[in-house]
Amino acid sequence: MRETQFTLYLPPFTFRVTTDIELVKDNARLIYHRQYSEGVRHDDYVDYHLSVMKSTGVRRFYKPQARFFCDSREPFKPLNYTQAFAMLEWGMNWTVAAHELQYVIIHSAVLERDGKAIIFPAPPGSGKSTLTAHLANSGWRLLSDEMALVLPHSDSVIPFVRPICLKNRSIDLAKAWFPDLRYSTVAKDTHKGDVIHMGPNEGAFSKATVPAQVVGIVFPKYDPDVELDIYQLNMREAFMQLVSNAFNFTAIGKDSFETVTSLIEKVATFEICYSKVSEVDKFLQEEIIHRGD
Amino acid sequence: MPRYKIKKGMLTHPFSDLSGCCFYSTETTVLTSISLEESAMLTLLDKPDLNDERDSAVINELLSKGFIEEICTE
Repeated sequence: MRETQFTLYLPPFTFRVTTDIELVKDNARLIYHRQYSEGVRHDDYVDYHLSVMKSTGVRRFYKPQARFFCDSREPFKPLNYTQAFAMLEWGMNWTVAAHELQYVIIHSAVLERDGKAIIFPAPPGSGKSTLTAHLANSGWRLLSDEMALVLPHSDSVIPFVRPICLKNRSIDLAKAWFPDLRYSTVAKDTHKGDVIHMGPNEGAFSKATVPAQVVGIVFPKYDPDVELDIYQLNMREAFMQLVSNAFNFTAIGKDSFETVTSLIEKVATFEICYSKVSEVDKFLQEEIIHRGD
Repeated sequence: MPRYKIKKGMLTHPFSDLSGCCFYSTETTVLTSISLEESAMLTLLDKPDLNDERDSAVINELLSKGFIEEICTE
């Protein structure tokens, strides 16, 4: 494929992507749908110029690879060519986490219901994305599967609507739950296992510039052998856990310290161990969203 | 008996549920927390019992991370 460019309008950022890999373009068009625009409009303000390109040299004939660049910087080692779209997704995450200082960025999913948002910080393997995939298509609004952008000195979280990254067994589960949604091709044998990206629904994109007020922070952990187990965190525990998931806490310094401590003072904080997403949904609505109604 | 104070410029926050206090240094970017509420922490800094294992652990944690310093009494 010849080198081509497209633009992704993903508030609060705009990305211009250059690629010579067909599956990058095809998956981006499928997943981002109306937020995708082919070619270059010169009146666009572009925040980041990214590229995902085929590797050159002899290797391309027997083991083709893809390389990701943010401007001229290459933060990752090349990956297998079939993982090129996943690489673009991870590259976009890296780009925002490494450069944005006007938000306190927390590695977490964010979902909203009735104008109230819950942040779900969690390490890989905790079942965060599977839970997010279910809730985001069961009456909750997806603000992000990957990072909470919290406005400093506020309890407002800004949407950054992106696809949900599903791994291994979650792929079949999500496709069984929501067969009509848009899914990327499978990136096989990545460092996370097999990976696909589930496109956000139109409801999430249509409110992509509408912030929400954070009312809860929930640290989820999937365990197939447990009933829903809920532990209310005290503020000190919640603070330390939240900071350990913040990408740019030290880069922002005083403002992030004040923002996170103030947030912890205002919101409900829980750690949950779950096996059924429907139980989590009920708990979140009763104990956090509609508490005190 | 040594007495201690929080160093100038350190950010601290005592949590309102009395679960403890957190400390952050913008200079070194070191962060820590202790499970002592504010008044208990201030008493500890003023009159630490360094024979007490818990007092000693808290003082050592805050000293080693550069959040407190000994008050010179001379």
